[in-house]
Formats: sequence, C-alpha cells, structure tokens
Amino acid sequence: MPSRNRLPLTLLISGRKLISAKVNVLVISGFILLLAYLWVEDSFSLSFRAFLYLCPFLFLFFSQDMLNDEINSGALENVLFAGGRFRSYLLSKNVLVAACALGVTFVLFSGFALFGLATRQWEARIPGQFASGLLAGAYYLALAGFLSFFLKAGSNVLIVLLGQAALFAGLLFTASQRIGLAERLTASSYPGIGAKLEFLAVSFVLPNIVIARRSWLNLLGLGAMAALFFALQTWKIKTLELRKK
Amino acid sequence: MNAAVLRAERLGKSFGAVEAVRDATFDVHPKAITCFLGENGAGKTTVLKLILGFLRPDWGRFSLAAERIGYVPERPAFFPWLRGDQILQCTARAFGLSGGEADRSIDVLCRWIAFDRRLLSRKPHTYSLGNQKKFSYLQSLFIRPDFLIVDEPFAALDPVSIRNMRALFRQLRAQGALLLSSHLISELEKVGDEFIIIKAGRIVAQGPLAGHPDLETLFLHYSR
Repeated sequence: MPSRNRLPLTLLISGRKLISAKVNVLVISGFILLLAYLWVEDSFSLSFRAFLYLCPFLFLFFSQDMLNDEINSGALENVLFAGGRFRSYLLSKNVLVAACALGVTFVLFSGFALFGLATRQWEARIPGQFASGLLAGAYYLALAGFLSFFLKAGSNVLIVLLGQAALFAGLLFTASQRIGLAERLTASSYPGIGAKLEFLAVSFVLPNIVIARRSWLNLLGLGAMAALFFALQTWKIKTLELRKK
Repeated sequence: MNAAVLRAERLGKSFGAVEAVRDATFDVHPKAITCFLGENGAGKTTVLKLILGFLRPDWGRFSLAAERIGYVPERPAFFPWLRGDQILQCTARAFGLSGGEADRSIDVLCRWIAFDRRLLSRKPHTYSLGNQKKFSYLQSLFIRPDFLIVDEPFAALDPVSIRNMRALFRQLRAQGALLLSSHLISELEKVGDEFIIIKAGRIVAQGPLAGHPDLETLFLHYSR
C-alpha cells in the first residue's frame, strides 16, 4: 500500500469511530449547551472563560478507547494492515484525534473571539490562555493515549478523571488543615522550588490549571511530559506485535 | 519450478520460554496451491503472522516477491463501528481502486463466493460465522492478490460454500500463489499442489504432492 494512502485510511476508519461514538456526541453537545447556558444566564465573559478552561477536556474525551480494544480485537489482523502497516495506522491515530479536537476547539474559539472583538470584550491574555489550553489538551491526548495501551474501552479517560477527583478531595481535606497547597493555589503564590514543583505535580493531574496560573516552569514541565508520553506511545507501537486475538 | 513467491530462511519465534517456531525454512511457489499442515499448536498461525508482519521474527528472514498479499484469518474480526461496504471502501482507497472498478469487482466476487451483497449494509460482526469468513474472502479477493494466505480456509463454511471455495482456489491458482493452512487434510488434498508440514515449530517436510500416495498418509508419516 503506498504511504500516501495511509492517512486517508486512518481518517476513514478512526474518523468514523469518532463520529459514531455516542460519548463524543454527548460531550460536544453537552459542552456547547453548558457554554450557551452560562452565556444566557450569566454573561459572555463567563461563558468564554468556561470554554478556555474546559476545552482541553475535548482532547481527553476524544482519546477514549484509543488503542487497547483495537489491538486486542483481532481487527488489525487484516489485509489492510499486513506488512506491519498496523503500526503506521496506530501512530497516525494521534494526529487524527488531535485534528478533530483542534477542529471543534477552533470553531468554538473563533465564534467567541469574533463576538468578543466585535463587542470590545476581548482581553490581551486570551491568546496566551488559549495556547496554554491547547498544550493541556496535547498533554491529555498523550497521557490518555499511553494509558489506553493498558486500559480497556474508556477506562483510560476514567482513570484520569478519578485522579482529578482524588486531587480535589485531597485539596479539600488539606484546605481545612491549612497545610498550604490549597492556599497557595488560591493565592497563586509559590515561594521556593518545593512549592513550584508541588504546583507542577498538580498540573500533571489537572493540566487545565496552567490556563489560570501560567508559569514557564509549568508550561515547560507539561510540554516535556506530553513529549515523554508521546515518545512512550511511539516506542510501544513500534515494538508492538499482534499476539492476542 | 518458478522463483519462489515466498522464501523463508531459518525463521524463529519465541513467546517467553516457549519456542513457537524454530529454523523454519520453506518456499511457496507461484501458480501453485501450497497446503500448510500441522497439528493444533504446531506453529502454523505463528508462521503466517510472521509472514504477514503481524509478528516480528526473533531469528531468520523471509523475502516476498508478491505485491498484493491477501489474508483470510481463521476467525476474522472487523472494526465493530464499520459496515461491510465501509470496510470495502477503506480497502479500495488503501489499494488505489477506483469507485466504479471497485463496485464491479464487488458484484463479481459476491457471486463467486455466494455472498449476499445486501449484507454489506450491515456491520460484519452481526453476520453469521460463515458469512464473516466469506466477507473476509471478499475483502482479500477485492485487492486482486498475487499471493493469498488463508488460515483454516474451510472453517465455518457449509458444504456448498466449501465446494465453491475449492473451485475458487483452482481459478486463483492461475493468477498467483496460494498458501492454505489447515488440518482438514481431506479438503486440502482435493486442491493442493505442494505441501509443507510443520511439527512442534519445525518444518519437517515439504515438496510437491505429485508422486505421494495421499496427503493424509504423508501427514501421519511426518507427524509421528
């Protein structure tokens, strides 16, 4: 099969999977409904902020069930993927998922941006926040894709959400005991390297946090972790064999 | 004899401590139906997966002189979100077949293998096992393979379909090479030209069938 035919093949196969997944339709429509509700009930500004903070989750939800089920289903043992072509198919899935999530995100962002510019509600910090959101989205994609080697169906997404729930619960408990992290997050003050690393660790569990509290250390740390998870995915795929059925 | 379509040299594959294939050296020739025989667990499917690139050999090497390789697995599986026609559309796109050409080809092939074309509007995992196998044949034949590999070619097929498949294999032999892996010796010997016997991961015999009494005697002799 010529290499030029590989990306359209991924587009045909995984594109249809993304479209046919009910959870993706629910996530997109639920997200749009939430933003519309906030706009109508409160303000454009709150709706736009909600969009900026929540858009990385689109990347996370689109990454559900990325690899494990396809690898173990036996569907890759097909003429389409003979000669090791299943590896290039799996590698190009990240590109497709990222493109779909970026497409939805950019459409929504363009709508907000045009309205904001037209009504003079545009703020200079918005492009930086949006870029940070895209970085958080890339991190989600890399992390969830890597986890999907080991976890079935949508449990790669579920485990990330459970981690975030555990983080919130932990923050609530520590807030009542005044041990510091919750206070520092609220005040956006991180004195010393220990506090900075603590914040970095929090952003690995909830990367959306870098949209509100941007620092070079966090952005670089998150970018490095995303690159690491993408590299691990690539290594896993390049050494993958279809042993099970 | 023509140059080999497939030449495997000392292929080896282990899964942990289990040596599934060892020193497998064999040839598959064009314009011939090669029967690949072995008991359950002898390593037949592992060898096929090595040839198809689904597994990587730990040792040895192989060379393929075929451009389009068709493959029908023992139990075909398909992406559950795609309909039969969508899978064929992907296959046509991947192998550069035009829409009209693909459509005509589907018609001919459906008649050839007695597959109800209306099933294509459904997802293959909803088909009966026999129809899933036929759909896998359809997909593989659709690309006009010059080398067709079939794992358990008659599994899940009814007697009429088995007879059709034998006729199909004879027709395909004129266009390329076939490697049929099975332990249903009685069916294979009706169509086979050459044989390869694998036992406990090692190739123990290979050659043309002509001149041998029958495939079963041959198989039992080498499987002792």
